[in-house]
Amino acid sequence: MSPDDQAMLELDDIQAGLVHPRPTRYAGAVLLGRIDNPRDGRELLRRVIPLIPSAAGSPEPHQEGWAAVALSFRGLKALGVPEDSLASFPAEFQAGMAARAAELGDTGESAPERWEQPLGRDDVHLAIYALAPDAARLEEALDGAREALRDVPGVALIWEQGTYMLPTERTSFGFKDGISNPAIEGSGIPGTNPHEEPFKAGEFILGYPNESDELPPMPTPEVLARNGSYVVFRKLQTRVAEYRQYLRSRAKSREDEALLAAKFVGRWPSGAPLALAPERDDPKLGADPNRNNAFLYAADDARGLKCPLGAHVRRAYARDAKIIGVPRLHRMIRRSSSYGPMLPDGVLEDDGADRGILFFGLQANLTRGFEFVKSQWINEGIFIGMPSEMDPLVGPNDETRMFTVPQQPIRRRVTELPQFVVNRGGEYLFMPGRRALGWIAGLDS
Amino acid sequence: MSQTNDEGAPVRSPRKGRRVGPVSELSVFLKVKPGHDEAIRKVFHGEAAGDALAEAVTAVGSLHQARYVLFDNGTRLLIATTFDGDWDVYIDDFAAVGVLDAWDTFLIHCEGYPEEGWRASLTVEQAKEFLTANQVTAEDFWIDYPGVTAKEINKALALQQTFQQVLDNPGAAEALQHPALEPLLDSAAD
Repeated sequence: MSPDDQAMLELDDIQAGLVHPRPTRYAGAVLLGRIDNPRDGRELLRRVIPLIPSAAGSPEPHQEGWAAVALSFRGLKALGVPEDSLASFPAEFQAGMAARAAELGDTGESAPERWEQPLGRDDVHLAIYALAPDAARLEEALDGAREALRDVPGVALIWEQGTYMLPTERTSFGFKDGISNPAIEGSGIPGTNPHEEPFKAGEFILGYPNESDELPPMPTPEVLARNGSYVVFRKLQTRVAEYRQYLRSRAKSREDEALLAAKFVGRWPSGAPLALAPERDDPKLGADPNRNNAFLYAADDARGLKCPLGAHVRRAYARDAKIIGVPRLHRMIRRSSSYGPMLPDGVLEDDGADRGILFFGLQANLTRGFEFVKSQWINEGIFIGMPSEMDPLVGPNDETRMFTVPQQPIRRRVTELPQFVVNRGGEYLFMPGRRALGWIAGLDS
Repeated sequence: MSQTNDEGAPVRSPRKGRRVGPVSELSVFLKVKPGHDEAIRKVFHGEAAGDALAEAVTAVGSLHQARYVLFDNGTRLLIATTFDGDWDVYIDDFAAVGVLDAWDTFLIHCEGYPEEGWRASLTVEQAKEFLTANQVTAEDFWIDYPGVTAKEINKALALQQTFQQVLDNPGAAEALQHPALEPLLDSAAD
């Protein structure tokens, strides 16, 4: 089959959550299951499949609850996927996220031995992401799911985490999130940056050519691989009080505090990007989906005088900026949401609550996507020629690194950055297409 | 990204090569196909020699140095480079900006590499494996200026040039008297 024959996406087979941006407000939950009996595991899949909308449906927020399903390597094994098929999955997926800790910088407080149980354990087999327009309808959907689980004794619910997105779409650090979404060629859904060409589907979905005009490495058989994607799941705890204290201690005034915070992120709290609003927040710009992601860096901010080279969003995707390598080859789809109560505005003391982000990153190739982004762009600064810096907001800082804010006449530097985000645990998951889920459900072993 | 070394033990990438601060070394030893040494010389000394290669490595932005050495009477080729960061995780990027195509022009004359070029018969991953398989880790790797990237070195050199321009201004000695500029004044005497 030539690349052209594969250009049309099989939207009716792709799980909706992979292609459609998440609704702007919702309540959700992540359920993790352990499969003790392959027959029961497959029976559960059969019951869940009808709840998974395909990407061919409406991208508008669903009135009813819906779900996305993904499986860990050990989950595939527990469901009875044949050995030769298991062996065809990429090594990093087989190893699982905990085994990749050194590569990912999940050390110190983020080390797997300190993860929240059962995250990182061998019995995390199945993940269900349930989504509903509000808490009441979510609870209804979850009741149904729990009932289904009771009927299949060979599958145990081992973890449940509620998640939500505020109507403002702001996360615990106080910034609007989830603004930048790539367009996927053949999906018919536009990206959020009009200056960015759509990406080849093979960057995100198995079975299609990627930006290198190659098919991403695929497990066998094809029915299992096609229209699937790899999901990186991480529960990222945000240390909001510590973050606010740090900014207060380094800022000259409240106004300066807001500016420094924006320089860390690369956007203002409203979502307005520094590239377009370098001086102060512009809530109208932040709220305008046609403009709040319509920018590049190279032409008028090569030095980072507006958005620092090391700002979180510029690191996470440098667009057309000159860095080592080619940003387009390392694009992920991000579907993150909040968990835990927000720390009220202005509070600088830690209230002891567990809060943060459930990070979901989707890609067709984990090493080219998440593992590259985390190791090269978040944890290091070599790619921008700044080896003594890492991501000021989400990097595993240890009070020895600094953050440079280019500005005229003289650049600013803040030092001794502490770690503001700790990984409480996560897993590499495979999100099969709907036909592939049916294939797994129909296995006989 | 590779997860295991040649013995099958898990390692961080890259599997081979030494690193000093942000700078890594890559030494690849290849056998030249019999009689192909002249063709390799032509690649480097021909009319358009090195243009595509220079363009490609500039586009990557991480290379400090590269040497291509024909030795043992033209029977072997050494590729020796120093660069910032890892190379194996950037292999897709190298392919995208044309480094693999530029290297193709001489690699096709080396044993184990397809004579029709990588695009015809290798995946990017296989091209990476070819290089890794022939890579040898240096016993020692020493840098006079450790801890800095190519970008920082170029910036430092540009700054030195600017500083010399300032010193050529007749008003420089007086301007540098300001206490804040004392470290610069110390550097101005020679």
